[in-house]
Amino acid sequence: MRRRFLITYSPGLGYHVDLPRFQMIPGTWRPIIAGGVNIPAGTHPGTGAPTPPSVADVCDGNGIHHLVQPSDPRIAQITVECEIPDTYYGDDVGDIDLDNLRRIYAAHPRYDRADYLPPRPDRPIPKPPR
Amino acid sequence: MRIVYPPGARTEFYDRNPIQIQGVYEARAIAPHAQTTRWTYTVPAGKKMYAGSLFCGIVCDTDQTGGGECDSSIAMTPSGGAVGGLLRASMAFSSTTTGRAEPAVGGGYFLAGDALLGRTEDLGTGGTISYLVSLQGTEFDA
Repeated sequence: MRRRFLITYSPGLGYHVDLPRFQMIPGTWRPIIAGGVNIPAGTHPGTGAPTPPSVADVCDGNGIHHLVQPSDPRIAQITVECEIPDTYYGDDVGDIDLDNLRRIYAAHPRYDRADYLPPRPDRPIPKPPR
Repeated sequence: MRIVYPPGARTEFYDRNPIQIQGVYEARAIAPHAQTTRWTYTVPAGKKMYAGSLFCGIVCDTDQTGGGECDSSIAMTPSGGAVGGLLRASMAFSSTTTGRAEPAVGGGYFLAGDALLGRTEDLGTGGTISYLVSLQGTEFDA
């Protein structure tokens, strides 16, 4: 079942979705934040030729630029579409069934803890007006 | 010849309510990005998982203009433990003339609570990379 989730960050996993099982769909990171990362001039590591300054995207469709800090407020609302096991849901349209998730991963040191809360599936992002 | 399991004997693992497990991230021409976990699989309670294939590979599509490591990797978090790498395909600087790395390994049993992660990162400037990070396994009753 496909759902869109807010991303989160931890040092070991980098950017990820805080679920025991997921598979990101390539090209589905939203919103795309074009520009905003200034790359200074440098030298080409292969040829040694000078390279001009350039601008990269904070978030394109496939991820967040490595020069953006995880604490940057611009990435707080970024979501990604994931394939998730159907068994995580109590119905076809609702949120993740937390009791069922805890039953599937009983005694797991993270997913069966009382303070673990799965990410809420994001609602559809409205289309921009024409 | 007929093979009969005596009463009380357990069947082979691949006959104990097996489920195919797949974790795949396959994408082309990906721009530089911070380390990202593209997929995760955690072994449920009462189950085990045999990984028949773990693979990660990268191919440079267009040259970087600034040096920086790019890689795809598979890591494991044992139940209650800390994340650690299993496999890694990496390049310190990606160029279309030299850019291809593909380590692979097959096999491995994982216990309830163990997690496998497929990750990618590109810490360079400019350029694009194609990634394939995959897991194929069989989950079965412990």
